[in-house]
Amino acid sequence: MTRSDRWFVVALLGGILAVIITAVVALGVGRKNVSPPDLQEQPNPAIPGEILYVNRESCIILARASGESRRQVACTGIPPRLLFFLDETRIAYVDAVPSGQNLVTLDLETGRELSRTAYKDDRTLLLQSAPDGTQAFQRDDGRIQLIRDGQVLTEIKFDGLDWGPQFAGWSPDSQWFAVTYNPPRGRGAELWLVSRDGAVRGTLAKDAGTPAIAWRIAGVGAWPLPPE
Amino acid sequence: MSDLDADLRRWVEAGILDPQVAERIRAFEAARAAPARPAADRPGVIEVLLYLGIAVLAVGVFALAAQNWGDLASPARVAVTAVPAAFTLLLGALLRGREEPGMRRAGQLAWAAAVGLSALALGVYIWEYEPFGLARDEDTTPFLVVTAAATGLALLLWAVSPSVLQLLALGASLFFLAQAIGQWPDEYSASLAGGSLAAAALAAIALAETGRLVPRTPARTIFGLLLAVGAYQPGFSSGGTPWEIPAFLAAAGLLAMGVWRSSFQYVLWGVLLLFAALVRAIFQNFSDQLGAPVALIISGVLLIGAVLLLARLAPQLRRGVAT
Repeated sequence: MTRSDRWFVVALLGGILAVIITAVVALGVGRKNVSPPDLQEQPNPAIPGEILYVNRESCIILARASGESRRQVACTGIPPRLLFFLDETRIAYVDAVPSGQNLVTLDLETGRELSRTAYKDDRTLLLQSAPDGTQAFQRDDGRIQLIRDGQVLTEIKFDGLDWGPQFAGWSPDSQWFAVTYNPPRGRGAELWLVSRDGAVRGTLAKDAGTPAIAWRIAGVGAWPLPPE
Repeated sequence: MSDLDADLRRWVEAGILDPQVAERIRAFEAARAAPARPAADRPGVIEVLLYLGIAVLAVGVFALAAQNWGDLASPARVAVTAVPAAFTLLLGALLRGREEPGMRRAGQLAWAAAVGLSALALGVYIWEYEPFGLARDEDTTPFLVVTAAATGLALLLWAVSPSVLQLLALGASLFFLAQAIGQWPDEYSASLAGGSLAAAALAAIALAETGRLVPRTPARTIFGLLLAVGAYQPGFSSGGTPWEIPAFLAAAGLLAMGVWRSSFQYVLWGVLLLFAALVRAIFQNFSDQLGAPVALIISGVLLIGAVLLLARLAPQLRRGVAT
């Protein structure tokens, strides 16, 4: 074997690997777009109501669930764990600091802090429950099962995901739910809205922070229910 | 005097054999009976103990570093991994030119270790300093960069010193690079990882069979195994039925290649891949209809068949290699 043979091996194997890496990295070969349609680009009027969510900068955003519009309400500094619509003009969030949890009430229009009280409830598990009693359970392979009275009503599959999206909350009419999906390479978490039968899906946000949402529909109410 | 000497002497004295022919027979038999390799070519006890000492020392250093990792600043963390990497690279370069085979082997071992240590050092550097926009919380790109760099280094070290250990380092880094490629899409793609590995292994096998990738026997062993793993991965990790086919194609290819090139290594990997693919396919697709006991019985029959096939082919292949 001559020296040129060795460099031929280096060039050939290196070239093949370079072609594969270029195809995968630059051309996106093998990449599947697992995200539902972007609701900001293609609003879906079938999705009702308004949603509060938290973005990566720990700011609370009020968005039309259809994706038509959104605005920033306030930035909290600490990522809120829970969000609530209190009434037409006020919202609340729960922050978690080492000294304990606080329930902070904000003016929805201005974002001004109205009050801050200690919060002792743990309602995290309740977020899996819909107003009509349906429970959402995350399963392997990106599946979410909707269960009521011990019966599996339906199973929503999220193709192409090794790990299912994280359940975030229900709509007040129990017909929709929200999940957050964490894509790789440090991209922001996505907030997906999914109809109860899984047929209609949309990506409401691509900069979501914590999987905390509150949803309200005019004439129906808000979910989750505000703390007493 | 050996039996052969006595016989030759009798045949020469009887006028059956010319003395020159008898001498040539003696020389031929003497050469055949001599050890295949000089004693210096074989690892001695001292060399083995030296390797053991280096391994124990390395484990100790890494254990010490791991225990105190939290107290180390970023430069110290990089140094803890980069200094051994540089040391093994230098050691391999120094020992490569030595005449003693034991020293040359130690140099090859140092370079094989250098590939892993360099990858570790680069990984720690990226983690600590996040250069060129490589974020530590975004694991796919750093993994791809580190494994690509390790593969490039392994390839270069093999080009400088083509040896078994450099081939091993190349094979290992290729495996991890393929997994990094599979990790690149939003979700891990077993078909992309396996396909990349199989493509690289196929190229390496072609190079080995044309005499360019040497030493050939370990090259066949390493890249035959990588081809089998790469072909198996897509169908049986998460891909499903259509992706099972490459494993069977690769098994058939390895078997055909083994018979054609008289290579026991290809036949071995081909038979093992065929066995694994069949068993997995039976359990994946038919266990519901057949039930686990029947699937196990079929798997047992396949295993016996695989062993019998290997036993039948092995002597022929050994004869083929000898010729």
